[in-house]
Amino acid sequence: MKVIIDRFEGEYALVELENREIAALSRQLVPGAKEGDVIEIRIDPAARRKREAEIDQLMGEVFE
Amino acid sequence: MFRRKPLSVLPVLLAVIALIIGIQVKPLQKTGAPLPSPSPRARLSVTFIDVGQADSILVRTPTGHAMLIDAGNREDFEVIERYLTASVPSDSAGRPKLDVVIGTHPHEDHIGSMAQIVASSAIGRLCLPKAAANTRTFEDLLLAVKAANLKVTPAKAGIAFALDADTRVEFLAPNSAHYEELNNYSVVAKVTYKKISFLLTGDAESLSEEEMLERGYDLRADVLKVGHHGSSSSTGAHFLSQVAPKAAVISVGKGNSYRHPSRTTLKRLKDQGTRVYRTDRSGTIRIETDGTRLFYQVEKGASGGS
Ligand SMILES: [Zn+2]
Repeated sequence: MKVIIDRFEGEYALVELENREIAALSRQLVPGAKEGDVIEIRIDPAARRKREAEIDQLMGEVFE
Repeated sequence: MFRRKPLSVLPVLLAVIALIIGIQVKPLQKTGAPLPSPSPRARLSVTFIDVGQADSILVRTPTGHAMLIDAGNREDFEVIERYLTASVPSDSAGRPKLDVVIGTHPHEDHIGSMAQIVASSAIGRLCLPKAAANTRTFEDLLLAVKAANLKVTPAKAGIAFALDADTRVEFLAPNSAHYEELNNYSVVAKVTYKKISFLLTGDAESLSEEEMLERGYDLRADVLKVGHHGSSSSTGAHFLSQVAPKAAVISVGKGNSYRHPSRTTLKRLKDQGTRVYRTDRSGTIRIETDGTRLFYQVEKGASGGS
């Protein structure tokens, strides 16, 4: 999904979703972003698998 | 003055009566009763419509001419439309006649419902600052303008026009064609009816306020629509002392996550001796003037005159 930054208010970036709804994102999620920037939000299955493997490894280390 | 009335049994009662006599009635609006139509007396009315954390201001002259400044968030169309229907004369097709519509700047909390307003009203002149936004909300507005065969007047400081013989509108900002942030492109409109002025500032921030001061404009106004929902980035001390308003209106949503209005701004207004109205507390606020005095009406809670 691509969202567009409409404006900033305090600690939030207000982004316009594809259906025109407005959602608030913490500014920390979009460091350096400006009004009008397009942010791509997508599910990253490869990153998830990598993450799962890392956690699995760590759990393997700390669990009996 | 216009408190919500306890109507809860009425719809049921009406429905029962309707059933008995075999007609259909629409359920009554559950939300607070909006302010009635503006006074038919010879007064200019400025209605600050409660659109939550957003702006929408309707100016109506005693001769029935009307100007809408900003159109709330995307979900506010119905509440704005209700005020237009109740307060503004309509054309032969039943569409509200708006002599002038101004979008102060292309943020969604100011132009959210403007595409729908453009599509459903008879608009004489549409003014927007020459500032682009990437959003679909802005694109929708441009498409609606195109479909309505309208042309946009680029708004900037120095533009002035009469809404009727006694009502003059002057733009005091924007004073530059390039800003980092859209807020500073905000159209600042001074509306003067006889001896009374309203300064409506959109989300203009300190940078724009400084420019207006530098230009030496006559900023004095009886009523100030506080810039940017009362954020501390607007309403600088020097600017406020020059405006020296008797009353100020803050258009702000209840419990908003941005902590608007800021304590700094509220303190500055208090120190100035300005009486403050907030849409999060009073709902829709209407200020009328006969050209010398101000009259206040609020949707919720107490109001009065001065
Ligand atoms: Zn705003």
